[in-house]
Amino acid sequence: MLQSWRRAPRGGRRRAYALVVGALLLPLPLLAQDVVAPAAPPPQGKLTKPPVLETFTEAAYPDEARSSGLEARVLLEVDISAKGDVTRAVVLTPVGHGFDEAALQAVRQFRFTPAEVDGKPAAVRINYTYNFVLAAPAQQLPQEGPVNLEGTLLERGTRRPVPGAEVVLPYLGRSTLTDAKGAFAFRDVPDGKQKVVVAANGYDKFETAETLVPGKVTRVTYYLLQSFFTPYETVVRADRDKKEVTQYSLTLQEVQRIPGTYGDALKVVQNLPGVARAPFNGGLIAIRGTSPEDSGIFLDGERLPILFHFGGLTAVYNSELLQSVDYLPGNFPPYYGDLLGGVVDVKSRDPRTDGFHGVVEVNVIDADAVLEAPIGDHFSFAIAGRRSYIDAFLPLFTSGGTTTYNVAPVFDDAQLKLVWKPDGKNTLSLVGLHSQDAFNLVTGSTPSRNPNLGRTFVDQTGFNQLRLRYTHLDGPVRWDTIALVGETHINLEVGTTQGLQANSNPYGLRSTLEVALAPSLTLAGVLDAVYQPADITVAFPQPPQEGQALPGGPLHPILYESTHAWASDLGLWVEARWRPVSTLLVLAGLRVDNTLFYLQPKPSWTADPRLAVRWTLAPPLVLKAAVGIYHQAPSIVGGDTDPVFGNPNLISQRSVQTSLGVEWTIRPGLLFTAETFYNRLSDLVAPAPAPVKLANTGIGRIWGFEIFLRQALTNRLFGWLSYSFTKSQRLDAPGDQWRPFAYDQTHVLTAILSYKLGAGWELGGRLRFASGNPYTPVVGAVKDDNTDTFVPIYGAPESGRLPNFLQLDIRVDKTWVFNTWSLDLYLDVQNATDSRAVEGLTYSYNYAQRVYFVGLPIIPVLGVKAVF
Amino acid sequence: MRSLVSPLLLLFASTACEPTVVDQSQLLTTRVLAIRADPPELVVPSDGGLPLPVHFTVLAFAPDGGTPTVTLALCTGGNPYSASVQCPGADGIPLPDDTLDVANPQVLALLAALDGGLPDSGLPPTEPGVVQVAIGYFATSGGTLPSDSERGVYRLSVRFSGRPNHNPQLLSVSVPDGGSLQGAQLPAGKDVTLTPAIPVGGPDAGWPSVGLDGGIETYPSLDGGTLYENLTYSWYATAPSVSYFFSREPTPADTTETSPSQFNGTNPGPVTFYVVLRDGRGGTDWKLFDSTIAPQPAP
Repeated sequence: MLQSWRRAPRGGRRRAYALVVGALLLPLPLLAQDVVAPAAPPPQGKLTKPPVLETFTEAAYPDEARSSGLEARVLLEVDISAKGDVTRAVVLTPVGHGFDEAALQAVRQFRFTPAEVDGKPAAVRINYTYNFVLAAPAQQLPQEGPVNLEGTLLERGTRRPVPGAEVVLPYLGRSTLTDAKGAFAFRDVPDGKQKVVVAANGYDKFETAETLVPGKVTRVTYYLLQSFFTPYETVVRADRDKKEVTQYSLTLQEVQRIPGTYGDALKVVQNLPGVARAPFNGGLIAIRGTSPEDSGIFLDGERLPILFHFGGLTAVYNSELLQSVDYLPGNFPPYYGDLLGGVVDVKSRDPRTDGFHGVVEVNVIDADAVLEAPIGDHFSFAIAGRRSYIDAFLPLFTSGGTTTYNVAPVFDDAQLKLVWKPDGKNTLSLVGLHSQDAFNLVTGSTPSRNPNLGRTFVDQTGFNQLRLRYTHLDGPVRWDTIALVGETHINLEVGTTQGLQANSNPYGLRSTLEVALAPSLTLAGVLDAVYQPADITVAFPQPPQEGQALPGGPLHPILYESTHAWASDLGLWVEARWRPVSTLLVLAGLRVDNTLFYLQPKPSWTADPRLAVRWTLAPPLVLKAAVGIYHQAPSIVGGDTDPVFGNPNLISQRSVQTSLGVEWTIRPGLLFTAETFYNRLSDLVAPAPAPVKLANTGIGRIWGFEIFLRQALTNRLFGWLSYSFTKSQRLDAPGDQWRPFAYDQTHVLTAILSYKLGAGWELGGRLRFASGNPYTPVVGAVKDDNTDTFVPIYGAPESGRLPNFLQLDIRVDKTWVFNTWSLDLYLDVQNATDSRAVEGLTYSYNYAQRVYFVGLPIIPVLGVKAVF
Repeated sequence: MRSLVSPLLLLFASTACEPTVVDQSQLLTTRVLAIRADPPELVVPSDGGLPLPVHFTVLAFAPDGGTPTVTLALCTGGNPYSASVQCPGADGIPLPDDTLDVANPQVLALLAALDGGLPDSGLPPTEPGVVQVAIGYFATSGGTLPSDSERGVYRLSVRFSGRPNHNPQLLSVSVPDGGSLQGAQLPAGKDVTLTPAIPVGGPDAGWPSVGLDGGIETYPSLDGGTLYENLTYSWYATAPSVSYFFSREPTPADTTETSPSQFNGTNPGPVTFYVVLRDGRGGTDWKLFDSTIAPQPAP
């Protein structure tokens, strides 16, 4: 019988003595393709209440084993329904001698109090250990007296409660289980010294002795060490309805240890199928052949204006405050709009409510800190900040050089999250975001390609945002509303003649209503609105369009514009999630967008129907297919709709996306997926003859397939193998030749493996191969004597191809775990073999000679992180 | 517009750490270093008279010490920087004696038809009352290798109104002891600062003159403002190596610029400097300096 807080056991178990230990341990694939909940637009939920064993059934001790004096520990994987019933149980580590069958028979009769994910009862999967111990008959002792031994089990290093752990007084033959807060209690424990043994699945065995004094209550706190330590909270994958056909979800445990990413969740996305390799290990996320501008990065459903400091150094949102990262390479649901490419949706997590916690991390680039704590029973907060100190050490490397910094590169960011949960149904949260990048360099001489540029380069970019979010959960109804107000600023100065100043104040409102009309039908929808006014002053040549070379020369004079621009987008959407039979899921949706820009003659309406189906052929095998229409409005900050730089009459670009795939769960934790896709693009913005400069004359076609084999995080191991074959081509105007998109990479292969060696050591590696990017070759040059520069003559657009890319990254971690905190020392070595990747071409002054521009050499980054 | 940021930053980064390519300063192949027009604009008189002829002088270099043959032509249309336009050649009007003279009926007809510039040339207006025409050139030292020839364009302003431009004036280039670069002994293996001089004075006290005496002029911008000329130096040498190929005179609008360059001679021996000064509007001047790279004294 499971014991609860302040309720002592009624009696010790005899002979066949089962120490039952249930613990929620990294269950199921944490990077799963099939995680969706009707309750939450992010498919990954947060475990808000663990399941607690309510009805225990004691296993029959196998006779043969008993007679042979054998004991055993059987590890099982148990599926628990939203009602608390055991729906499935399998043995993960068979031990034989009849133990496996006995444990299975007993566990199938267990009953739990339902677990809750995001405050709602949900089905979960847990690991469960059934211990068979031969024990002497227990003394019969009075057990109705007062509690005189009580305590709490906490996880060593994190101070998280350990629920469901078995606390045993072996000499008395008595035991109890900890409750959800890790608490336990015994009544009428005899005075004197008593041995205490604690067994919990996933933790090292803990033994101690307590001396009980007559008439006094002994209160203790025990710290259990995880067998394989991770400082991060487990996120349970709930078995909920699905909303996306293809989705990959990452959790913090995985992203923190992938070599070459420095623990940056958004960079980890670059290792998933369909994502092109970013040059210089930068932050670009180009999905399925499209440009980075065609894909959207969201935080809790609202767009982030800037993703990385200095284009790729570190994400502007602290990964420590992440719950999960969802990646949808295509055929995403109508919840998302205004995109031709894919979606990366970052989910923030709520602050911890089990005490004051924090993280401090220092590496050679920056330092950051996170603090979080509850305030009373209903409030909690988290605050984080980061600042770089490149400005401090850069002079050591640049002294004596020809380039100096008036303002050395420096970046900082900060996040604040306040959460108020007055009851189990309502949650109000306020999120504040800040990010700022700045530098001002002066080169030794004017650039040789353009003496009129001047010697200075100034970049000051940043944003501030406030997001107020209200979530209401009540049975079959979920209502989620986010209101956003912010400011984004860009100040770019190139010499004294060129520059861009843009200040915008975006407003956003996203409201989502989901109603489970019946067990087989959920209806979701409502609105996604954005209004973005901006003051823009520009002095630049005509910016290049997709696949165009950097403009220059006398034929591309500086253009001037100073305007108050604005853009609005009102998206209304609805989606039905229908399961006509248990093996078939149909997702049918429609999104309608109304977009309007300043100077646009009339509003633009687009309608995007989307359909997806998932068919479970057999439990381990799922077929999936999808088709949908997608539109993306022209960019005002990019100048597309400006009369000087673009064309106010541009309409939204269009894509028809189709995909067909299969998922195969080879065994628990090992997932294989394969998917083929074909996207047809039209109305692409392309250069046009004067006077309009831009027109919707482009068309495109993108097709390929993706293969993904993933081993979910176990105690020691996780990793994946990802391969993408992609062909992406476009045609800018009728009569042109088809050419590759700028980020067309035919082959992209990524292999990641991370292994916990034990004793706090962990070793990981990442191997990447990618086809080289296309480029437009220079076939000649004509000198412009007035500027003493040469104007290149280009060959066919994107007709050249850079050499392939191959790189190995390695990461080593050593973690020390103390009672109340842990310390992680890591060495992340990017490009461990010091191979020089070709990132581009550079030419001599007259373009007669060309050499490859190689990427970064071996870069070891040493860092230390303390978690408490 | 942010799409410009990364390539521009890369451009600056490549300036800071250029890979191993041929140095623009070093004279190794057949090159046209500068073209000077006298006067620097074709000025159309407001009284309806004919403009004065413009004579072109070419500063060219050939590696064998010879003089390259340079052919000039007035381009008749099309993008003069493209491979499809042959100027000189089928798309150009030859300029005898390197002179553009409206006495030539072909030239007169072309100029008379100018309406915002040459047809389809794409050459944009640079200031009010001015259109640009292309003077194409082809220089060859007689060989058949690509390095034996060079093709280029000089943009000549045709002025219909406003104050005419003037050629700038390079007075001298001095070495750190104040002496002239001409005949100077330059220590091998050491950075030597080369400082150019132009006329000083003018209405902006403390700045090189703004006026008609070869210094920095002001001119109207297309949006009605007033701009300073960007006086840019190009530094060529027959021996390595010049640190900064370009340098620029500072102006009140851009105080970050500095006009000197640096030279660090690696091999003792004679060296000739070609210093070209351009005003960015078609005005040009240059001077040549013969110096010697002296060996380092024994320690």
